[in-house]
Amino acid sequence: MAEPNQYLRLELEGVNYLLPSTASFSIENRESMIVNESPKGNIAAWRAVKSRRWPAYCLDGNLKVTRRDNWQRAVFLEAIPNAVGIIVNEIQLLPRADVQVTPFYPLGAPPIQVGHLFSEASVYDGRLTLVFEPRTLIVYLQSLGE
Amino acid sequence: MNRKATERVHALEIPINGLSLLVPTAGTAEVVNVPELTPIPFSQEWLVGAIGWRMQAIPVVSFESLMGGAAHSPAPGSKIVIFYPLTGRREWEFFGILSSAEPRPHAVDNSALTANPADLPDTPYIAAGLKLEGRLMAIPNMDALKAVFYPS
Repeated sequence: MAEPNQYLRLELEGVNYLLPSTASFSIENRESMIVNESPKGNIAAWRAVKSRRWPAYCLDGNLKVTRRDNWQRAVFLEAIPNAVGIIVNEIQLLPRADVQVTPFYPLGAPPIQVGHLFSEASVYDGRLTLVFEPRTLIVYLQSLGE
Repeated sequence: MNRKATERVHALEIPINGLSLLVPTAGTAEVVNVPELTPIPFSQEWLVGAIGWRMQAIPVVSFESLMGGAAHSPAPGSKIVIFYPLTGRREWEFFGILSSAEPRPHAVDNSALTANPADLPDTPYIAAGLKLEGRLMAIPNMDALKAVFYPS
């Protein structure tokens, strides 16, 4: 796997995660998205691209689907057939040199067939931040459906 | 003197709720206080979280929960026993077991009584047991742990 040059810190309801730059991602503002006004369904908003709509999901700190209105941005991960997004409270781009990353294997069977959601962790001052495995995160987001 | 009669193994008693585990001290790297546990979304119920230790990420296991019981939250006095990677695993794959109290060292020789298997929990994660100082101590089955930790 290619070494990431940087990490994107995502804050989801008070919990921080890191996304390596080996994932291709883009950051969208709320103004450029269509908010799902219906309380039903898992999708919080869409980004309209030509004739398609890319879904974005609002996740809580445990990565379960939730809804909240006080968000301003979403991170879209490039995927096939279309990008898929996560609504974020806060984001910060961190240079590789600022992130101390160590390999990490969450014990036990992975929650989805393609593997675990995390393959690394950042340890700083005794505190630990989990690093997403982009491929698995995409599969998880795609599994959330409509 | 019969050499066999003097053989001793240094072991660590790890109290968990309702039972004590007994493991060779040589397999343990350190006993640490419980820092903030980072939850791991969608993990197994017995994986209570992860901690940072010596710049490494250590998954922490509730042995009670692994045996089918309830996972207890760390209490005052709880510790985490950090184990070296299991045989055949990668050099960074340390793991921790949550202890309900301070672990105690023991020197075990062949005068220790083998526990009656009927007295041990009915679980694949216990290989055998000993009676030390009149108390039952269960010896984890490391092969079974490896199989459940790292399913192929």
